[in-house]
Amino acid sequence: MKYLWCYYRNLWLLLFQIILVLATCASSLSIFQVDGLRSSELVINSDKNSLDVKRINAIAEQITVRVLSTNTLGSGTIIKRSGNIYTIITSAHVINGINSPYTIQTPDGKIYLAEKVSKDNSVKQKKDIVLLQFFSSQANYSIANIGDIGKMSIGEDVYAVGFPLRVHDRLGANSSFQLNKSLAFREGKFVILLNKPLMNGYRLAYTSSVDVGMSGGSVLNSKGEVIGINGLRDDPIWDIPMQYQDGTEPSLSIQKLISNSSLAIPIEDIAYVFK
Amino acid sequence: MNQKSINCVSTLTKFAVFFSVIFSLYQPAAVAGGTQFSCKTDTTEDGIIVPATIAKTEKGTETSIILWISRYFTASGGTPEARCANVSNRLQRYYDNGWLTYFKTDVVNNLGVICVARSASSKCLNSDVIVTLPPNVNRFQALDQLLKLQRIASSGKPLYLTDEFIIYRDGEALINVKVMIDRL
Repeated sequence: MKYLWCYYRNLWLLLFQIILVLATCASSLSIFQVDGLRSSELVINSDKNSLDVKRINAIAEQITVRVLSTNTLGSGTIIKRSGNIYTIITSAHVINGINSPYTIQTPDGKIYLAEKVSKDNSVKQKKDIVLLQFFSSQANYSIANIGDIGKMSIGEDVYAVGFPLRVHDRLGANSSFQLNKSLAFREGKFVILLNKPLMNGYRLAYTSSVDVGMSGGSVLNSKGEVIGINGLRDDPIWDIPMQYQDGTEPSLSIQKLISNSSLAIPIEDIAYVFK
Repeated sequence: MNQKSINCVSTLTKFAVFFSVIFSLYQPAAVAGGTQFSCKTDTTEDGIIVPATIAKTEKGTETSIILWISRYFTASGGTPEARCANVSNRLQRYYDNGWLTYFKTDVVNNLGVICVARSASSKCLNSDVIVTLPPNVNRFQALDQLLKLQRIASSGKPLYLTDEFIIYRDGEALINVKVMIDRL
């Protein structure tokens, strides 16, 4: 009886192993500190126009492109079509300092030569946005629908879309181009729409995780409509406080809110691109 | 000791060994204390591999901050490799102390510098210098470029600390014709 537990040592070993594995799993689970905005406000999208998430994902895949040069630069969103000329919107910083030629990879995997739109007011408006155009007579690409942020409530579902870069994502002359199987579709919550824009026009904050490469991709609402263009990640390298475009600094509480959020340029602020 | 107790002790020992081995293997990932700065390598636009100061955020995003190409400071021991290591360490120290909040630019000993400032309005102190820039680098552009890298969701362009027109390859100084032509 004294040595009973020795006799069952195989069972004990197994039990210890199970406990160890469970303990390891539990400790490696990152339990996010749930702030008020992520946990509270079970906002039920009672809007009967809300789409199924799969449908929104499908829309995202149809309207999102890759923007390329010698390397993969970032993402873009198809916003306009005039005859056979398609207009793409992307972040200005995606092509900043990179000389053309730029190319676009569309959802069907095709590559098109693209050019910057010359009559673009974004620099004047101080928005981190640029327009590119490509020509296609063969295919029929979907155009993004535009949503209205005005009707959104804090905590409402949003989806950030784009093509995250892999490390050392370089396309050489001999590389084969990949289809967009790797489109990121990131669920998140609407955090805030600031009253005035930060530097370069950023105003829309949301919790979706945005990675390098997703700049120029869109933020979609629950109807699959574009409400913003991704540009800033939710994980800054250093803690430089953001500034408003007018040079002032947001309050500490706003700073805290936006330093942990991804930031986009609201589509309503760049209505001029649709003219 | 009888045979049974020897068996018991040996079983216990096996458990103990097993435990310690497993625990040492299953180290939980080190709790990331924010951004980590380090000196690694990156490739310039000309395809040359140079030392680079890299920032890795808690989320795992890696960004090249500075590419060390200039040999201007070599005579005083400031090879690109040495400066890379030096500044990467400095950045880490400033970050860990919570000082990487306000970046400024100033001129010290006729050379442009980028430094941390304690507040938006205070001046740079010598002790707060992050990096001394080679003579040809415009300090305002350099600062601007550093700030831009903070959270853009695109690969961005690191700060190239070069010597104007001159690139070094295998110890030989070559004229960077492309740069020369671009600036004509």
